Amino acid sequence: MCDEGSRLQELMIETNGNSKKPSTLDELSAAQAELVEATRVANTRAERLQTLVTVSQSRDLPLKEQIERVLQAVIDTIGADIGIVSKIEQETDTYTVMYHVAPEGALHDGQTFQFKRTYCERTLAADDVLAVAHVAQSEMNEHPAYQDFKLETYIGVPLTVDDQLYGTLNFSSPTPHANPFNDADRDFVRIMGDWVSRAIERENARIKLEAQNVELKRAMALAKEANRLKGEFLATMSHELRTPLNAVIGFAEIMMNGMGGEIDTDAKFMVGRIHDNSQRLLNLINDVLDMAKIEARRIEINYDAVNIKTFVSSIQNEMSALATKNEVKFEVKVADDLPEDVLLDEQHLRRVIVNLLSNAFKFTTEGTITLDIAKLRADKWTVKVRDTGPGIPAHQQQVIFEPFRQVDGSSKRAYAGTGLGLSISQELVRAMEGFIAVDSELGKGATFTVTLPLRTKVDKPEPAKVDA
Amino acid sequence: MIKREEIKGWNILIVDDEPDSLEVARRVLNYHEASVTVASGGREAWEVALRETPNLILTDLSMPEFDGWQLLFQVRENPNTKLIPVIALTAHAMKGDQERALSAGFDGYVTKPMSPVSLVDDILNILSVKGATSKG
Repeated sequence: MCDEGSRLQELMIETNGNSKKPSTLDELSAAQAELVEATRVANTRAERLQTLVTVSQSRDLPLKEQIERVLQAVIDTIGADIGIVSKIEQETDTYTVMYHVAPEGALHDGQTFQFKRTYCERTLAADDVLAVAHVAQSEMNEHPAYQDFKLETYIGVPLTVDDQLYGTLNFSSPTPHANPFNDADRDFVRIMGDWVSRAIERENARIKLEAQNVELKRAMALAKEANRLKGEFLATMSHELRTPLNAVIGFAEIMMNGMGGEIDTDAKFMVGRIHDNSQRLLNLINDVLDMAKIEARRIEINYDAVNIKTFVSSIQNEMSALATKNEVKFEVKVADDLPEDVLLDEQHLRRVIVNLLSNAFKFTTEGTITLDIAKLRADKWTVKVRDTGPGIPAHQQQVIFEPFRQVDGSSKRAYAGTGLGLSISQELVRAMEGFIAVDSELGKGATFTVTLPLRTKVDKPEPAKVDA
Repeated sequence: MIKREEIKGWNILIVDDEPDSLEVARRVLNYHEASVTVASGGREAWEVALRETPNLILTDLSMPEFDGWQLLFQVRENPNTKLIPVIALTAHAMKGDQERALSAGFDGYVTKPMSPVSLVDDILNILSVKGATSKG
């Protein structure tokens, strides 16, 4: 461009006669012709530059439209009748018209040719721009494509998309080109080829991204649905397992209590066994379902301001039957410096404490079981369950929190229970933003300590879902 | 097991879509000499309530089609039935249901499974708190 410009200037200076004077009329007309040609070249360059600008502004259009604009622009500037973006598969010798601009009815997108019978075969072999202004007068006049299509003008360039050979960008005409192709023409087609390659790459990336988005959305919907089904399954299982068992327990209770007429002692004993075993099975089902709920992160924590003294005495009542049965002393202590009302999830904390106390009663045959509730610091309080049972050896102290485990390993099962109680308790305590610890020595009893954040109504947190 | 005289002669309507649950409750209440009508769904229960004006309705909450919530609404809407105490039978685990039942206008709730031993005491507790121990 620069060269042409300065040459033009030179010519103009020459014609204005400020430099050397044209000696003859011939020289003058030659200079004039030179000027016309230079102007034409300059105009062509300007036109092509304009084409590039236009094309680069069409990136929001659909790919087909973008490429058709490029093809049309090149056809207009370079002078051709047909513009094609082809996709080439050499293994199958297939040349497919992907996009094209051509006289009405001459071609259609998706049309295929034998690749080896197209000029593009030569373009790929050259691995660069191939330009022939007049095929009949070139060595290409023997090419099968010339026999087939009688195209006199051809200029094409290979397209590389995502580092792979894609096909070609090519222009042709049944008539010879007005001028021989020069380097500027070749550069122009090369640049447009690059542009088309990048446009196809962008489109491929967009399609890939879109497919990934669709896949991601699908996976998310699937996961959501799976979670919903899991929850539904848990709820259904819970209902379906408990309902028949509740009927068994209900009828057994009616019979045990003589509400269904008198039965003899032996029958009463057997009904009692039915009742107790059904109850045990129900507890097991409840534990397993709770564990499943915890694993599905479906435990919801609901904080309420609860009167600690009332709360503790209701637990004391609940445990009193066990206490009398076991002939173990049961002591309850609530520290005076605790606020009257504490924010807690009553249902879950009760479950934890009852579980710890039940364990204590289960393993303690003599001595004292203590429920000790105290303020630890301004922002922490503790619930301690202390027993005088056999104690837990140090190496077992972690194991007991694992699901389905008891001290002495899971095989012995000397003590009834699901082995889930402590796991559930631990998960519940964690959900309530606290932690649970055990302190024990073999033969010296055990102390389970639940430490919880101490909150009153002022800083009541929002109901939280477990996200452990 | 001592019979509780307080509910002797009452006509109690129990609504539940689980037949065994109905049967347990029926036997317990019969033992305490109340007369019991059972219904396996809300629609049937509503017909019984209109016809018999029972002294008390015990109803499950979740039933297909016509549920316990709808039954309570119908009972409260009709001048002939609106004073009948209605107690919800709620599943043990459904803590939310219990709160919702109270705010919806149930006189109270009894958790399922009903305990044969404490059912009558539970009912009487609810009714005495509500001051609605009138006999029909």
